[in-house]
Amino acid sequence: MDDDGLGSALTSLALRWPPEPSVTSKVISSIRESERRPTSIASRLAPRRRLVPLVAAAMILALTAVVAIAGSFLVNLGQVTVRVTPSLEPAPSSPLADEDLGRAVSLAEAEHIAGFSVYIPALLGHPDRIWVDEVRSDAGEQSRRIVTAWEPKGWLPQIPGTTWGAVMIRFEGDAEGATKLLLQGTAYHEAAYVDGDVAHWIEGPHEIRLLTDEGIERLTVTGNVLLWQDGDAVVRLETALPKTRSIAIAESSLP
Amino acid sequence: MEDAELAALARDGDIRAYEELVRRHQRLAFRVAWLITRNSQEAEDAVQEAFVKTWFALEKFRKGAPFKPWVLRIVANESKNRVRSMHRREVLALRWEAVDSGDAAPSPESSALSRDDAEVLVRALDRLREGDRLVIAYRWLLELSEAEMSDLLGVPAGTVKSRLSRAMARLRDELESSEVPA
Repeated sequence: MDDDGLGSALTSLALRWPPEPSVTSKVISSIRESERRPTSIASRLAPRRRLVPLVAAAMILALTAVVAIAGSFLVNLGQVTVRVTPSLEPAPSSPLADEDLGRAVSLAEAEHIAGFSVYIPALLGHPDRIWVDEVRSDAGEQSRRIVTAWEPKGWLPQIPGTTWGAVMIRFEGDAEGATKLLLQGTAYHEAAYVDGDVAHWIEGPHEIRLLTDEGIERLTVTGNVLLWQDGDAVVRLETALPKTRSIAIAESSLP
Repeated sequence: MEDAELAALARDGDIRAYEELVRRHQRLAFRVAWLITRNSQEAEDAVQEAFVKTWFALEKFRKGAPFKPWVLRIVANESKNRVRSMHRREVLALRWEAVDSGDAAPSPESSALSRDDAEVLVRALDRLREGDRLVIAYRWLLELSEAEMSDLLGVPAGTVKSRLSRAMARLRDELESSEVPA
């Protein structure tokens, strides 16, 4: 049977779909109850997510489109926190090196470990390398990190100081997986939106402290970073691209 | 009124026009969400949230672009976000069932497919990996065009074609391993 014949057979199946609810009145009620402001939408749309600190931060950010960093501004994204520091000693390890990222695995292994499809933005295509790291904190909380990396290509410039064009890290679990430290006056931070959810854009060199089995690993980040919450996980995309392009990549996930 | 006209009105703030768009697409949206979440309640929540998000994102909607794949993409993204936070995913069983079409007269194609063959086909579909199952379902169960799938998946039309072709080949492999009579 060719594709068309098989397709016709599939189309002709009388499948038992679950009964479809009518959501029209609920949708319209929700819209009417809301003001047309992104920050209030985000807080209302994701009541089950741990977004309270995120939304509070976003509301502050929304008031000033670009936040010049001053003082110890703090963003708490669950597994990742972002702090501003007035001084920062050079990190001993810089920038992100392959050996820092965990165990290299195939896509199938990563999906087996994750229990679902690994987030792959269509604009980047199949990743060139994947690493998985599972860590237990001193307090017994578990954290899992899935790292995907893509080599540079025509439109994807190399991240300075690395061999990669894009590095995406997905943080899952209960333990705090990473802290980002932004040096006051050298990096800046502004609000962004990924698929309508509040996100954070960080431009300029900064430090990331990753939780590993050997303790906290200090690494220098040389690229531009988009950080957003995806369900219970936090995703971090590092590239040398501008903000709009990074958001387009983040929003182009595969099924 | 066509979707494009309703979308243009909705973009200008006409909530009645948007209500009609929701009514028109909620069934398909629910099926897309269900295919991804495999859970009716999660699918309903995802659809509801996605339609609200879509309203607030209408300013970004390109005038003249097809509304259906655009809203389905938001539904799919919302559903995927929910799946990622559903750690119990492994225990959720997808069991499509081929059923008799009830009072409706069978189509020539369905009458050509015996109930046993239909069950084998459904089981083979069930065994595919998620990505393959979704592209096949979008194309042949929900009857989206390749152009609509391109917008929904955010990939070029050529990629849709090749992904669909690979998925169909794997479905055929599954069927052969089940020894379904062709």
